[in-house]
Amino acid sequence: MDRQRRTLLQALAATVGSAATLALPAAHARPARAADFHRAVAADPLLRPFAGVADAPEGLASDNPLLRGRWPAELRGRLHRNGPALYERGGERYHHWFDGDGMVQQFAIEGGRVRHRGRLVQTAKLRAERAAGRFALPAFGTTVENPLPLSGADSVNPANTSVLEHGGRLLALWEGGSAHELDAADLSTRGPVTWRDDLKGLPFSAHPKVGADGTLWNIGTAGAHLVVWQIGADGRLQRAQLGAHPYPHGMVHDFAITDRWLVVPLPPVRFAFDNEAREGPRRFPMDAGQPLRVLIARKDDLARQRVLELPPQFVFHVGNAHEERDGTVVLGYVGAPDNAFLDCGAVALMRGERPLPAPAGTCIARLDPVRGTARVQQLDDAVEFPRVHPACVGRRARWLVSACGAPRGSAGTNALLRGVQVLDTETGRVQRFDYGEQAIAEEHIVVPRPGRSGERDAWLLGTVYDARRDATVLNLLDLARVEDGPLAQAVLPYRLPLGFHGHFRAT
Amino acid sequence: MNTRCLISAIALAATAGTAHAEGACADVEVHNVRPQQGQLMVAAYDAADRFGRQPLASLRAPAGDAVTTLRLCGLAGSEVALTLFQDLDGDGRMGRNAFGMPTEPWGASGSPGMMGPKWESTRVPLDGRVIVVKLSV
Repeated sequence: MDRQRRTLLQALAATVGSAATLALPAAHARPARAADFHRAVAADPLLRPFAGVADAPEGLASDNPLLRGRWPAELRGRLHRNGPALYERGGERYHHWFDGDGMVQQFAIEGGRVRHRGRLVQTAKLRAERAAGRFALPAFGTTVENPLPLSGADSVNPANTSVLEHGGRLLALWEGGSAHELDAADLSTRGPVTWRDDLKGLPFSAHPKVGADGTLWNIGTAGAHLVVWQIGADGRLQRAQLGAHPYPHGMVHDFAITDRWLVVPLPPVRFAFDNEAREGPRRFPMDAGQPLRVLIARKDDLARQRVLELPPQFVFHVGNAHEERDGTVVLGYVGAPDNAFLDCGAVALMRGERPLPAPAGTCIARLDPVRGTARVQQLDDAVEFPRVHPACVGRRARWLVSACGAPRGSAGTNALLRGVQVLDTETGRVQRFDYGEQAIAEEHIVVPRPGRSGERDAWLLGTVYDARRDATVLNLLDLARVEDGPLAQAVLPYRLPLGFHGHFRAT
Repeated sequence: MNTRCLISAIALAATAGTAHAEGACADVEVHNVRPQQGQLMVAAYDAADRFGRQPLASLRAPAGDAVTTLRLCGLAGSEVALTLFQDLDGDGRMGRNAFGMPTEPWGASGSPGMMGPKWESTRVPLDGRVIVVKLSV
């Protein structure tokens, strides 16, 4: 029965996870106490967003944020973002940043004006814990006392990682369970999406990729299982392929597509959710010395696949991939030497402590699906949350946009992301804008200018927490002149919890 | 797959129809019922070697309110372990998806934990006290 339980636990486990066999100081295992966090943040205002939000059904709303600069009249659409937001309940505080219940933010931009709405996704988990008055279900990095029984992954699905509009649906995404459909008009939650009855509750990752034809590709992993989703531009399931996870129980967070291939980094991290700490953060061991595997599988036939190996690295996110004429697959991703941020940094933040600088940088891998060879080059930068022009997903993209760390030689002490950079992948040149020491920069999304098809004819839309104002600021930049800084800003009359990923849809 | 074995322990629970008429009875308070949806399928076991395979008694009853109370008879002995699922779609089986994970609410007496019941963790005294079962989220 222990084996059965372990199998089920691992089958349910499919979020982000990891942890190297680092000689970590015992301090990293210390739990996050609410009182300790609030005391620490009083002395370090930059970390205030990690206070999160209360379980307020009305959410947040601002019809008239302070506007600066000129918001172009031709920019019309909705930026949605998602991220963990509710961290405390019944006096308890989660130990890990990724545990919080998801809150979707909506910035509606039209006629030179910006309006904001934000609401928690009303998941089964949120409702059950609201009723219980406590955290009653296990979270990614936190165990709970006397947990309620789980029906499946959706019992613990916080819907907190990304959000996407596709096929007429607004979907809040997590890694290990179903997408949750929301109503874009008021951000109310319609519920988990069942694409087909026998696929109910299967994982639908937070990093789907929409190709040039509008088809959405996604993956999901749980235990020894893998599913590949293919959703038409009309929002209907075209095909679901089931297969075996090539690195069973291993972490899979993001992937890329090309014209023919799915390209899935498999960092050497396996989940061990049955190895539960009774108190304090849950830990995730990394397979020491194991390579960074990369699954390459045919989009039209998952069984036709190959696993290539790169030197050991930890990966959350890919930027993009494309095929060259000779069949080489070029994959851009953000690689780190270990999973220290996931295992330690994201735990420190919940205690109100800054993480150590995480040396994650842009990596360009060249993969040969026929010969099985792979090599990688790492650039000298410090980045996360890579994005490309939406028309270039799966095709050659010249400009790679990422949130970035402090400028080299900066006297600042902000170890978090604080700027945005645009990398010219042909020349290696980088343009940056630094929001400053009192800012935390989040993902910046490429928004094509209406009627223009050039890859550089685009804006960047991205949020920043400004600790001087204790407010979240939405920024609009020119992708071609990012070093000039924002063309326009919308300063909210409040701060938002720091989020992960988002999506813009023109209206 | 192991998941299926575990789920079948619950699913087997209520293969029979109505409760046996003889023997001792117990009041069962079921929490977190999806109100008025389908049937509650209950099985009672009296020993470790019969757990999940050979119920001593079983019961099928319409799902009532979020907290539904049932009377289960045909019991014997000093201990009992109950397993339940809510048959939302009325097919008589506990639903599971293509990965083998449950898609219908389940629960058990005692402290089944998050993932599934076993005799040791679900047995409770059969002493006339109400037996509480919480269905899964």
